[in-house]
Amino acid sequence: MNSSRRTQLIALAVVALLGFGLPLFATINIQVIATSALFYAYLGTCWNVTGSYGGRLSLGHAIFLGAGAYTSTLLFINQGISPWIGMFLGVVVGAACGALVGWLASRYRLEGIFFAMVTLALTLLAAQLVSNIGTLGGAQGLLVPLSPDGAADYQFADPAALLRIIAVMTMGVLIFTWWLRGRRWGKWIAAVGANDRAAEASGLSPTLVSSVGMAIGGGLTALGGTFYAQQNLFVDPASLLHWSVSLAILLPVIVGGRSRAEGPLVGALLLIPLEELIRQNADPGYAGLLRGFLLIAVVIFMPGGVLDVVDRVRARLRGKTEHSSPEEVDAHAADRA
Amino acid sequence: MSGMRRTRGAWKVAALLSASLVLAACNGDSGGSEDAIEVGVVIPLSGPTAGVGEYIQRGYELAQEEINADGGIDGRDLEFKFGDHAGDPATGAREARTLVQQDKVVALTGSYESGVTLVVAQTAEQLKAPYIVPYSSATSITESGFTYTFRTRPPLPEWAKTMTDFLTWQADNGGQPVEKVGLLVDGTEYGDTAAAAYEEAAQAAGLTVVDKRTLTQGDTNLSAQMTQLRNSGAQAILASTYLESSMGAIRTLDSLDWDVPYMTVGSGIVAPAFFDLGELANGVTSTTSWASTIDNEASKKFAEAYKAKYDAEPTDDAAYAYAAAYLIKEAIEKAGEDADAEAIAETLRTAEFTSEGANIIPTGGTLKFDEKGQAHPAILMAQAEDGVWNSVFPEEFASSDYVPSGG
Amino acid sequence: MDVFVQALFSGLLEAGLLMAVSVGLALVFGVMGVVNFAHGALLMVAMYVAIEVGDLGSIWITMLLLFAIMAIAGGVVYLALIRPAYHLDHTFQLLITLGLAVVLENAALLYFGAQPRSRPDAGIDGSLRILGAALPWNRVALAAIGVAITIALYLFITRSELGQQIRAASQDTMAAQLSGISVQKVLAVAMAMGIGVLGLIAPFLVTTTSVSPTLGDRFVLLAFVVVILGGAGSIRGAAIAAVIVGLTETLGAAYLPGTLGLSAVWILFVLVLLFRPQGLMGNRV
Repeated sequence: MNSSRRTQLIALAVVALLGFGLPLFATINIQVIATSALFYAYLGTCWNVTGSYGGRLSLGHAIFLGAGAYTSTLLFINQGISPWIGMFLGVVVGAACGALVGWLASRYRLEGIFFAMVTLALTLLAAQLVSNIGTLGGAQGLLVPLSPDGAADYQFADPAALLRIIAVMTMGVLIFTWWLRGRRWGKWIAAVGANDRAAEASGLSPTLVSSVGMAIGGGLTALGGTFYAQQNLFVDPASLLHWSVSLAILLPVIVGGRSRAEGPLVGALLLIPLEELIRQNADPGYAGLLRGFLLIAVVIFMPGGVLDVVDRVRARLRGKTEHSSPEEVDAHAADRA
Repeated sequence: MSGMRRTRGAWKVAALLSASLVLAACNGDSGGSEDAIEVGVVIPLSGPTAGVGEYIQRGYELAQEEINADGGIDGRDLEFKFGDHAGDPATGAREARTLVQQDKVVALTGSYESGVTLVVAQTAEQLKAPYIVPYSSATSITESGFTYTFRTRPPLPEWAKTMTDFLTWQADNGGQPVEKVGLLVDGTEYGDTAAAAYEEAAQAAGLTVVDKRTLTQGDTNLSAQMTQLRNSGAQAILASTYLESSMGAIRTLDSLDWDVPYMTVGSGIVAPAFFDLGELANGVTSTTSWASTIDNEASKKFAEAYKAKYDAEPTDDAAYAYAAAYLIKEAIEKAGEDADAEAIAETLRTAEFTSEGANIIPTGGTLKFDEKGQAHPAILMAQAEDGVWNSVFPEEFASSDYVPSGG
Repeated sequence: MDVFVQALFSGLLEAGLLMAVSVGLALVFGVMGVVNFAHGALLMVAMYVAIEVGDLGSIWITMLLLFAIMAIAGGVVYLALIRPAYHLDHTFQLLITLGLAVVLENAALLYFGAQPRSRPDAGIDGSLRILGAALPWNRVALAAIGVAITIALYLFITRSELGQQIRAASQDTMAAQLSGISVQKVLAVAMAMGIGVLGLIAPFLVTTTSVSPTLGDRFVLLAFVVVILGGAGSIRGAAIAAVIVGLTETLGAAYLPGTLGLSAVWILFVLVLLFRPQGLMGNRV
């Protein structure tokens, strides 16, 4: 479902306000939470390029995140290349990883849970390999050396700077996704994800389209990886290349809704502050409990996410029977593996 | 769609967004009494090492209670603010940042997993806040050029040296002479660092490393590795196992009827839960950075107070937390009234710390940091006997005689 | 030679344990196509219950009680979580069980704490000597229970009337319904059986392995490998696959550097998913 121009403008305004308005008055804690929320909004939007609307449940986006983080960090450590430049090389590596996954998915017809399992297994493999390679920092990871140049090397002591950067990135990826959805390629990617054979019949090479779709998602996710590395000034396999990272990327998408480009944004803005609130005020474990319960509840009671419910309520208010998302869900059920 | 209805839907989205932000904003203001001196503690209170975090938190809390009951720091209360890093470096960095920039703590302490410690050290360096590390023993923490990080726990090479020193010493004290040692390490960076430290220490002590085997942390079935080590002729095993695997290793050795010294780093064996092994635990000797039995009045007082308050045996981690709290108190006092982070850091770099509380860890009475920000308390060898860890080596800190195996 | 023999037998013991952990997952996957991500977390729960229950005089009573508890848990999971989403795509069910795993893990953290717990003293002392290898008796017992569970479940599915209904329901839901089988009931029973067997091994597992809230992660991933390698829902396949995975793990640990032994398992997993997603045994039981 495409979003109205007005919804798009509101989404952009919310992100801009968070990124540029919040630092004017909010505490550092709130700025850090907002940064985290926008970070997951960004990653969720990247996931959604090939997720819902590419129809595939990837549990492997941690790999792309890691690809970006490691590429820019290694270039900075070994070649002294500023992460501002290194992040674009990270995009190339992330896109290459994405293309490989997309190619495998299409070549071996990995659908539904099989795609989820392969991406999960690849994440485990990637973590094992990185942990055993000393030049990548092994299991202990790599520190991004502090630079005297600060901002020129993508390093900021002021959390507001990072908040602004992630806000701009989120706006960028939203605009890109809206644009892509209106283009032929966007429609092809959606077609290939939904049903390989139908796309084949329409004369496209599904393998190519699938690879391109995952490459786009992977490349954009890698950009987030560099942000992560520069925010924490540290990369390591345990916190980057773990399936729980993929789950963390996925959760806001599911909560917000997969059918629309701004779903992950809504999901992340609902979920992350709530989680942080609990994490900072309650016994350890409650935030995780909430995370699990929400995942179950959303999938059972509103598999289309919050935005889908909003859409349906609107449709009902209009008294029309038009409701797109439940049918979409049934369509998924039809091509059960 | 009419414009009006579109707007209504969009507003719902906006309302949801702002609602969640209001929720977050409620949490914004930080409490705390006006004139207390606040110190940030970033430790694992959830996640896989939350159990250790609990011991550590108690150590700080106990010290805080004692210090404030005793008049605080020049009349002002000392208050530890805890941040949970859940074993995750990114969360650790965020907690450290919030504590320094928002809560304006004058110093940081804590962390446990070396990855988290590295990130917090990096953050402390960026924000120029002194950071006292009482836990992680990875070499990289003091070899990364940090100038605001001060570690009280000795690095791995010193643990390794204690092991080889002990092997030499025990041969003259009723034990079997050892010439060949085998290594059992995990495949992580920690295991690699440990292996390198063991090899270096063995070479310095004239021992031969005859074999090196790896395991995955958490594995308890180690019979394949142990058989290989036995075949290699090893007479002692230096390991980097955590508690679960160490207990598995001791059981495996028993099942193979192979009686050799098995040593690992700190709470990898020397922890109360090790006594779940029952009879098998007796006689096992391994390293620790603290034992409740060492001959030190303040240390004994701490152990009793801890037991009385929490109804549990304190661990070396708890003792290090407690000592760090007193070290921070002394550093703030030495840096002078209204000392800022920079003054405290400078004091930590240059001063010698002699308060009883800061020296319940085996320092011999004076704690001082070298140019890399590393302090050098002794590492002890402790031997298990009927549910108690007795310090048996070095003799300076020994509370009991070493009982050679088979004896 | 010594090393090889030891690794070989250790691998076989590991295989026995993996069988017990995997057959239930294989059954659920085969019958409903549901990838139960919470399987490992449920094993973790069973182990905590086994520790809490402690000694009931006889190990058989403990096993029966735990089987009952876990079977009820399995039935509840089916009715409360799987059934409401049964009409949805399997990826939705995967997400639900993933959510359940997260809930159980955190609930265990809140209730039991993060300290690993075990009952090493409850095990059988000593070890079995065979061709120079030493095999601790409690591990041998664990593996034997694993094999026995696998055989029992296989016989249940192939010989009993209920088992045949389960197979019928899994092969052709529509035809099963027409022939008067209550598919929902049959699926609930399959889920209860699949989870129930975790209760049978838990009392033994706690004598060799400590349980902590995150224990499920490792087991569930290995069990996935076994189930996929064995073939959707094939109990025989899972048994064979458990041997392959167990041996890969222990021989890998003995002969490959670092932790590459475990990598070998993941590589095997990816290759099977790509080239033989139907597994070794295809659709056979």
